[in-house]
Amino acid sequence: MDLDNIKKTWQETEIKPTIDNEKIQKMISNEGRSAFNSLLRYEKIGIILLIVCIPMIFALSLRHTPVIVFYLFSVVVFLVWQVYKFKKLRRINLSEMGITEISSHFYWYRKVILKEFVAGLVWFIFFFILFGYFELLDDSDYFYRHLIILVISALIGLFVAIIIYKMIYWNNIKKMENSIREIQDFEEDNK
Amino acid sequence: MKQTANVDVQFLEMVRQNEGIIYKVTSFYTDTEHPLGDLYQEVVLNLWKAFPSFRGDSKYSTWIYRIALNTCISFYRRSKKNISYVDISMDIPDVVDNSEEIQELYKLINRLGKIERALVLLYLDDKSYKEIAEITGLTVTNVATKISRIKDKLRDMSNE
Repeated sequence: MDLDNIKKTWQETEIKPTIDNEKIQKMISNEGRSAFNSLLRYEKIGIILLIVCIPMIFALSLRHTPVIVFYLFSVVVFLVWQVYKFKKLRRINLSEMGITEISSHFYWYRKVILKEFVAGLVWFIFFFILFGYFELLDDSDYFYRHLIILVISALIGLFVAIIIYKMIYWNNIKKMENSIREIQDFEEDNK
Repeated sequence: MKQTANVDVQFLEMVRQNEGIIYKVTSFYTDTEHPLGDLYQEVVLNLWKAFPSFRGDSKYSTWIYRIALNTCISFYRRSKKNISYVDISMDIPDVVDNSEEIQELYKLINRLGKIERALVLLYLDDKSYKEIAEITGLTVTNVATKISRIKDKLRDMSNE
């Protein structure tokens, strides 16, 4: 097949209109959330949750300065990161950007989500060790009981975090993987 | 209210005038998982959402191509769990007047990558390399190289 030979036939190909105005109007009233909009919404929820985490310090009744400082510092860092990620994702514009530009933004997003997940896990383990060390060691009467509660809470937290990441990110990211793979090939060619 | 109705009319008119582009783009990306009618609806919905922000910086057709291709390639589609599509049963032969050559083209493009398909479509629609670059985000040189490679690839595929 020669693409140049078929060009003329293609341009002369007649398109038969099959959809009336009423159906078009039904289509535009048929909302629903795209994978992209879902990600944007979850990132926004993430920002709100992190803001809520700041006053949560009182509910956690943390007593030791290193734990309080570590907690507050982490929340602020996560908040800044979350806002940056949200802003970067929001910049993706369906009607202004080219296909390759959009795909490379998603490629960046997928990469940072993977890194974020690993960093989050490390932080989670570190926080629980710090929390356990400072908040439990001086409480000898209930030490073992508190230790068990702490380990169980950490495991539940870890499990919930994995489920949330899978539901929110992996499923939506999977939908764009093919496009991403192709753009990687295109980028390789450009080097 | 009157303004909304006016936008509705303008939008419907724009879709009507350019439905050939929407059909052609969606027909290049249709498969068993994404029927032509569903893709068509996704494109129309995204056009509708982007319509108020269209500033006229580019031609209507360029803008429609960009949104239609972005919708078909990227993940601007909605999850089928969340929506029920308007019932339109249409297939490529119902919409596009099929010659043998066109039928062969459809068979072959299914074996191409998504961005490659976009380049073929824009090339067939006689878009200049500059316009193709503008729509896809590739450089003009890259567009030329890619199209040349795709032409060879299609030739080889049809000789197999």
